[in-house]
Amino acid sequence: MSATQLPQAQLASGGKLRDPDFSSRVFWLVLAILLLWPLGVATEFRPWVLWEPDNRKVTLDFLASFWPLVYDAEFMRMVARETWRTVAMATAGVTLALVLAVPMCLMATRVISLSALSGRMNRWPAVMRWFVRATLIVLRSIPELVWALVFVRVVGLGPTAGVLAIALTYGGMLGKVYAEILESGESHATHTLMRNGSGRLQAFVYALLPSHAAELASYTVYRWECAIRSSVVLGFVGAGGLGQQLDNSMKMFNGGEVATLLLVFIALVALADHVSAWLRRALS
Amino acid sequence: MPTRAAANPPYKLPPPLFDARCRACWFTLALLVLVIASFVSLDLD
Repeated sequence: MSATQLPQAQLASGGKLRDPDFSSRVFWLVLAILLLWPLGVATEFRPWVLWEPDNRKVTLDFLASFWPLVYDAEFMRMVARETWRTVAMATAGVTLALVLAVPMCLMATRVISLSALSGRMNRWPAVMRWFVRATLIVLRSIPELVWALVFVRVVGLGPTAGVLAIALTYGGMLGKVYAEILESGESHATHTLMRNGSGRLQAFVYALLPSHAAELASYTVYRWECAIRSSVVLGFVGAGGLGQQLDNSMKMFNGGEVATLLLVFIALVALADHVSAWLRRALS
Repeated sequence: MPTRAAANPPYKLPPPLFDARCRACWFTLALLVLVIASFVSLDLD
C-alpha cells in the first residue's frame, strides 16, 4: 500500500499504522487480569512450585519409572481383556443412556408439541415438559463417580456399577442436548406436517430427524468416547476395566505397567476419535 | 436367484432390510454386534 492510499489519520500520525481497537483490547486484558488474579490466589494456583528442585526430582523419578514398558504376553492378554471390558462398559452404559434419553428428549422438546402450534402451550403439557427437564438436570448434575460409589455399595464391585453410573449421567446429558439440537434449526417442515394431520412421531421421523441426524450422531459418538474415558475413571472405584488395573499398578509402584496401560488408553481414545470422524464424514 | 415381484405390478416391493452393497447396513450390523457383545461379555447382575 503506497503512502497516497493511507487514511488521513494515519498520515497525520506520521504514516504509522495504528490499531483502532488498541484501547478496548488493553481494557479487556486488564479487566481479565483483575478478575483472574484473586481467583488464582484463592485457589492457591502456583504452577512455579512444580519447578522447585525437590518437586522436580520427584516428577522426574516418577516419569523415569515408566521405562522400560512392560509388554510380556500374559500382561498384554490381561490388558486386551480389560480394554474390551472398558469398551463394553462404555457401550452398554451409552446404550442404556439412549434408552433413557430418547423418550425423555421427545417429551422435553417443544418443537413437536401440538398445543404449542397455536403459539402458547397448554398448562399440563408445559408442566410435563418442565418435570422432564428437571429430571434430566438431576440426572446429569450428579457426577458419574458419585453414582458409581453409590452403586458399588448397592450391587457390589464390578462392571454393573459402572454401567449404571454411566447410563444415568449420560442419559441426562444426552436427553438435554438432544432436545436442544431438535429445537435448534428450522422447524417449518415439522409444524407443517403436524398442522396437516400427521402424528408427532411421524413429524419427528419424517421432518425433524433427517435434518438433525448428522448432529445427533456426531454428539452421540462424542459421548461414547467420553464414556470410554469415564469407564477408566470409574475403574478406580471398583468398576473394573483399565482403570482398576491402572489403580493396582500405581499402588504397586509399577511404572512400566502404568505406562503400557496409559499408551493403550491413548490408542483407544484415538481409535474412538477416528471412528467419530469417519461417521461424521459418512453422514455429511 | 429369482427376483421377487410385487403381487400388484407395476408397483415395486420395498428394498430389503439388509443389502450387502450398503455400507450403512454393515455399519448398523457392526454396531448391533458391538452392543450385544458388550452386554453378553460383561455378565451384568
